[in-house]
Amino acid sequence: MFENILAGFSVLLDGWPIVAALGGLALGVVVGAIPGLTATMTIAILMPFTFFLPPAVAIGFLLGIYKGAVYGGSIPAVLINTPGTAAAAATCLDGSVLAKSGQAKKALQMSLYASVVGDLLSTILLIAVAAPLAAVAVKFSAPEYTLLFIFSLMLVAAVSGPNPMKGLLSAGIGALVGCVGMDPASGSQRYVFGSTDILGGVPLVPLLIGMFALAEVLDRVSKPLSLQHIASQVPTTAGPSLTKMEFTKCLPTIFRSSGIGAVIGVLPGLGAEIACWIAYGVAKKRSKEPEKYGKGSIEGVSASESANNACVPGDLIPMLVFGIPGDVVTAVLMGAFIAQGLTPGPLLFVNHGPVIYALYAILIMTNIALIFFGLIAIRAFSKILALPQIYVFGCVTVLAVAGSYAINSDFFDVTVMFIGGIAGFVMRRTGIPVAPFIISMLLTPMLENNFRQTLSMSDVGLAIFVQRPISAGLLAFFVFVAFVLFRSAKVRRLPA
Amino acid sequence: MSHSCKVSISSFLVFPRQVETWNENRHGNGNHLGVVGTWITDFPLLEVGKLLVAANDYVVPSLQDRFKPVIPSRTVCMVNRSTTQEISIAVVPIVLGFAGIFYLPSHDFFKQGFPAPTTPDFFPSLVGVFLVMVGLTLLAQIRKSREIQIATHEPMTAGPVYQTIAIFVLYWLLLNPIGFIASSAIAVLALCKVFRERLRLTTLIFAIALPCVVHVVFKRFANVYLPPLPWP
Repeated sequence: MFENILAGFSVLLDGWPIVAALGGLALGVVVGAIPGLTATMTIAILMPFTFFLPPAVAIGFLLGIYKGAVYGGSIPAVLINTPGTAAAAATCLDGSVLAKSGQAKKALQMSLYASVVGDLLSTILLIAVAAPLAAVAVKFSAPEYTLLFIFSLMLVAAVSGPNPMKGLLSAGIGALVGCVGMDPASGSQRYVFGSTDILGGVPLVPLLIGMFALAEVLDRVSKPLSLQHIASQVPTTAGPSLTKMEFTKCLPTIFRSSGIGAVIGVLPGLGAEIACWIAYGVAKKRSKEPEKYGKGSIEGVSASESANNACVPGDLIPMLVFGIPGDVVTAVLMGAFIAQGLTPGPLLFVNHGPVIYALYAILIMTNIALIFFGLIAIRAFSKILALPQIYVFGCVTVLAVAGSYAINSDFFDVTVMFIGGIAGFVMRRTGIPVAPFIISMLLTPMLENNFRQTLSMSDVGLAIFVQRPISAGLLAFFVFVAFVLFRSAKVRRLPA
Repeated sequence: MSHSCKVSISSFLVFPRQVETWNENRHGNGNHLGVVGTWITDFPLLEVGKLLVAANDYVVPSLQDRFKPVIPSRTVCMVNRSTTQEISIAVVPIVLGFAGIFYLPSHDFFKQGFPAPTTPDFFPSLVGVFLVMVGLTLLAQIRKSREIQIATHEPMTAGPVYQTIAIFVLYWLLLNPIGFIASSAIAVLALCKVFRERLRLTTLIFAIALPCVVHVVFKRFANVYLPPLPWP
């Protein structure tokens, strides 16, 4: 481990990973500050540009975007009462009230410092937990992975939207699309309809770009909002600054919310959008002044912001350790890892230890740099918002096409990207969540492979799942969770 | 029902309610926080739900006031979605599921029955059966509840969406014949109309410069040649 840490730092000494991560962070803050642009979309369209870079530079850049965007969403939440990303929705409640009462600077500073602390604590958790967990996960074999994949898919599908059946529908379609192409074990073709373009499966990256970038453009044009109109109404960021005493008073809330955010990040299907509300609710319940919440409580801002940023490293734990992306951003990031030859899973820590430790160092470093970039973004916010939308979405469209084509220099990938864009928009409009589709499509080849291996090594059919101690333990845990889910759903159906 | 806010792992893992029109009932109109709020309130963390109600009361009216002047009168609300649409959503997995089961070139379902577990056709068939079951459950939900499920509360203007799709199709059609730079410039200029941007000199320069820069970056740094212009 010590060797890996040293090797990780030697990767950073090259300098480019740091430059790329800081560039990504700055871009992420800007993207997050513009309502309508998301980290997922930005990572998806810029991912093809990173394929030609070394792994630490490429992944560092994308992680920088992710972290920056989650924080950036809080700036419009405070200043114009509109969350830049869904993860900052809870920040609106108190942040905007503080801004209206001339305390915008205080709210923005608290949001920045809480984000940094939350992210830092969660990164420490990631570093402490991931490698030991990977050591345990190495002992897993096909039956355990089969159970883990099924459980994760079910969980993502169940909590991805208001109707779990639509989540399952999305996951099912994703699994069917994941089956397209040549079966790696037998070489037989499935659902290729005579096309040689999809023999290797439906191209994932162009599909991701379409579903997140082009669908975002369509989504934006469907909502007639003029951000330039709002930009002229951005309140001044002058006013009293956050005092040391105010910050110290909020520290217990920040620590607690960071813990909540990190745990929620680890769970598949739940992300920063949920963490901010739950942390806010808990903070209000534990607060000595709950009546101030919603009326300009600085503690409320600290709770939601520390929780949503703490989700970022938490999200990475299941992806790095088990190869299971918990949400769409990590699904897209997993695509980038795979493209770089870093297949997520327990062996990642064995085979690519230096890169992983370099990424840890980047996570900590970008955290500290976030203070600097955050303060600049706060001052430049009205200018960011005043950017003509055609510049932003024109860039998105052109980069999406260029990125899709560049992967294999193949026009078919562009076609897949356009189809993915329209399909993604239709899914959003019909209430079918996109996350289960993408995650299921990613996991299906691995799930099928492990399932087949399980059945091959079993003399007793499906009973193998209860014969092996680890898989039996996992199965018992999953049955317990399913029971809790079923019971809660049943209780909620009863009239109050 | 307990009103306590228990933050444990198990309390997060709860099926959201099937049809929840909480936000709709409160305001009778959509908002962009509603989508998140609607399903978060389905969790048993009722305190969080209450907070969302507060968010709805405070944030939404201010947003509606703010955006009212820029929302055109022909805004189409997708709130009142027809049952037919829900039926269509339910039929899609049934059709896909059956197609998944029966369109396997190496396996004849009628002659050979369900594929053996270790064959390559087993897993796709399993997914097909799963999709059919999901579709049937969705159909049963519609029939049972006779309620229209609210998928989204957000208003949508249909015209610009169709225009943008048409621009995408045009972009796709032109990309190979006239090259990346020319087709991208045309697409960006066409998008100006959708985003209601006046065609200024700066926009024109942007529309031409952006694809040129992207083209050069890919060529120089990644050695990738995007579709070239039709002339040398």
